[in-house]
Amino acid sequence: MKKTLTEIVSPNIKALVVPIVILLVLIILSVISYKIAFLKLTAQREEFTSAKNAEKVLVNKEAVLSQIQGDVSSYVDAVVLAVPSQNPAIAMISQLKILALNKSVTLSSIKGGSESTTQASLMSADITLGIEGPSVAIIDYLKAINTLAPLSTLNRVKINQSVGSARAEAVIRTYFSAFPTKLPAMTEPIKELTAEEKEILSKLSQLTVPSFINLTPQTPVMRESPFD
Amino acid sequence: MVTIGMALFVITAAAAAAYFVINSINLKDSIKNQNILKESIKSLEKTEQSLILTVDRLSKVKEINGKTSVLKELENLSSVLATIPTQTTLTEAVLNRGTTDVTFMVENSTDLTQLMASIIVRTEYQRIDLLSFSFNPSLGYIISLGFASK
Repeated sequence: MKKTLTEIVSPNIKALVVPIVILLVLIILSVISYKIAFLKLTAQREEFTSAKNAEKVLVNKEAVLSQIQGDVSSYVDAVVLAVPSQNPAIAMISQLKILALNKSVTLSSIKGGSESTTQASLMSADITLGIEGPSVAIIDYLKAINTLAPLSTLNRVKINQSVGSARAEAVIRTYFSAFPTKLPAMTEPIKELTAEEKEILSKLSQLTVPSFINLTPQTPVMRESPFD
Repeated sequence: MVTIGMALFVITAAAAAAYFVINSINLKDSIKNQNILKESIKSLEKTEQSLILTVDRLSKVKEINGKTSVLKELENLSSVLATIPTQTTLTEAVLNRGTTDVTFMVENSTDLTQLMASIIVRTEYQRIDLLSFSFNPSLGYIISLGFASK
């Protein structure tokens, strides 16, 4: 006669079956819930760390902006006059004429060239000057171009001297570039000005700036006779 | 055994829950602080725009400063002219980046010697080449020199 399984297992083992099953279920449950909890806590921790980093960036950004708030408008004036957004040839010609008067030389010819794109971000326009006067005054004049805003480079100079006076031809390259159109994301770290950049700013602020005259628009006036 | 297992499970679960709650509170605080800071930064938007513009223009200024210019050659020529004898006439000077070709005219050999003596001591040039040398009885000596900048 065949015995069933319950008959084979001793009563002591039978008594242990229920707690062992409960323990196994508990262990499996614990493992699953620990895994879920661990993942959740790790994700939360990462979120908290990135939030703290973003907060740190914002604190730094606010501090930098508050610190430079007073000075930044003077920085903008200096840099925009040094590198304008549009072709500065007219302003530069005006500057060159004023400088010629101050340096006692005569501008015999002024020729503005067409705009050329040296690079995508920085464009240039050439001005060719004919200068007359004593050679020392011409050299002094050409050296002083470096002190003018907008910024320019002296690309080629030829000086000829006959009895008494000299004549020079110089090619001056002026630069301009479009203004940036986008602000970086709020949480992007802000770049503080370096010591080198502050030095450049202080040099730019010493440049001779073009004098502009702002014409205010006229208000409409009542005509005495509508036919005039 | 079951009791111990149960107790361990409960204690760990409680600790995890506490950790979760504390982290949640900290995260909420951080987000709140961020929002306050964002508002404050928004009020400084004009300053930020100005700073971005300044940084952009400064990068362009650096680019321009790195471009070729004959300013150094002009300054060197100016210092050469300041030291040559007064009887010497500069008839022509062509300045290009790195090189300056200059033609001088001197009336007699004494002035020529003085001119050469004043030029030979120049240290701002890498090399000075004699490009041409001629003598005209009515004008004097005509000497062309090529100065190569350092």
